[in-house]
Amino acid sequence: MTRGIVTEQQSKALNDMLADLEVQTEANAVYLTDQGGNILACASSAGDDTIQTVAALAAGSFAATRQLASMIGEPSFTSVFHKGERANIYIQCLDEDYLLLVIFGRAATLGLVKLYTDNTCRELLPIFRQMREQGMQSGGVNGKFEFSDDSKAFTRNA
Amino acid sequence: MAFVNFGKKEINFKIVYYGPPLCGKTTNLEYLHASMPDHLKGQMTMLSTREDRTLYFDFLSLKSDAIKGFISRFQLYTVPGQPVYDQTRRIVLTGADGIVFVADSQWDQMENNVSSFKNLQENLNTHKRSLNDTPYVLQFNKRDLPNVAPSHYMDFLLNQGETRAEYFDVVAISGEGVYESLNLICRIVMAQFIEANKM
Repeated sequence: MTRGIVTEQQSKALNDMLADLEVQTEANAVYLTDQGGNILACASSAGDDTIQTVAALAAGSFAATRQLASMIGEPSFTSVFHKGERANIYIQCLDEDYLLLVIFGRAATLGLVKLYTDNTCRELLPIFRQMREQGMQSGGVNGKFEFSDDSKAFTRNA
Repeated sequence: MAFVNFGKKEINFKIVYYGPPLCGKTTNLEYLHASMPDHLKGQMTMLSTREDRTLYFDFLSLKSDAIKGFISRFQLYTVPGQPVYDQTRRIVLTGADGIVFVADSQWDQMENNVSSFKNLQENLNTHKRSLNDTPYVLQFNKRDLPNVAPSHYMDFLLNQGETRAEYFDVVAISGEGVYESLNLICRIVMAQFIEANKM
């Protein structure tokens, strides 16, 4: 089963939107992930390794928050804010399945980040709708995958 | 469930290491992290208590070129084994493409193995899934210890599902069986993905 599919065109549109949001909020980085921590797009100068880990941790943190919400009778929390001395993280849940993370420093305020994030969220919704429709088509992505010659996925360091 | 990003030419798969407390789930990831070539691995993240017991999950991202023209990214997670963290195990299981069940081979751990295996089935059910529709392999870990149960006995004890899973004799601390079991679960998960997306 395939959980999500992002086409090349959608990937470009998402990356452009995130790059705009990064400029508007003067953020250090902006990530768009699904609830499982899979990265749909990101605007960040961090290395690939850091991006993967931040996405996985943020998704884990949000999942725990969702459980907390249910313990106090809330259907879910829609956003989480982690405040630091020099850097902050604002996480907004979108369309139930996705998370938008904005990592920002002293240059911006939380209010400004929320304002621009809300605008971006509205722009993202039609793309999510498209992605959902793609996912509902049987198979989703037809016949484009085959194993490479090496049958092993991983081998040890020699 | 697999996630495909054509923009980045990437396919993400999630593999969860499940099993009773102190069975060696974290040790599996530590061995992989220590022995995997640098360009294929990310940093290993552990959310642990002060006593080094897993509190939420351990996470390791690995890359492979096993599917032509794409980077296959395997996100490896462990669950906390302690019974009190059941809610956390359920969260980590969400969207898993494949499972490595790590059993402790010591005789006195058989009850814990069975109880954790049952807990895995229950938690999959909460996601409306079961071991019949989720690929998994079994690891019988700690084969280097003196007081271990025979593999065929553990196979009889844990491998009674509709679909029988492959099992591996493992010594996670020295790496024996660690790559073999990872490669098999990755292969099954990728084959299932390729089959599901055929024209």
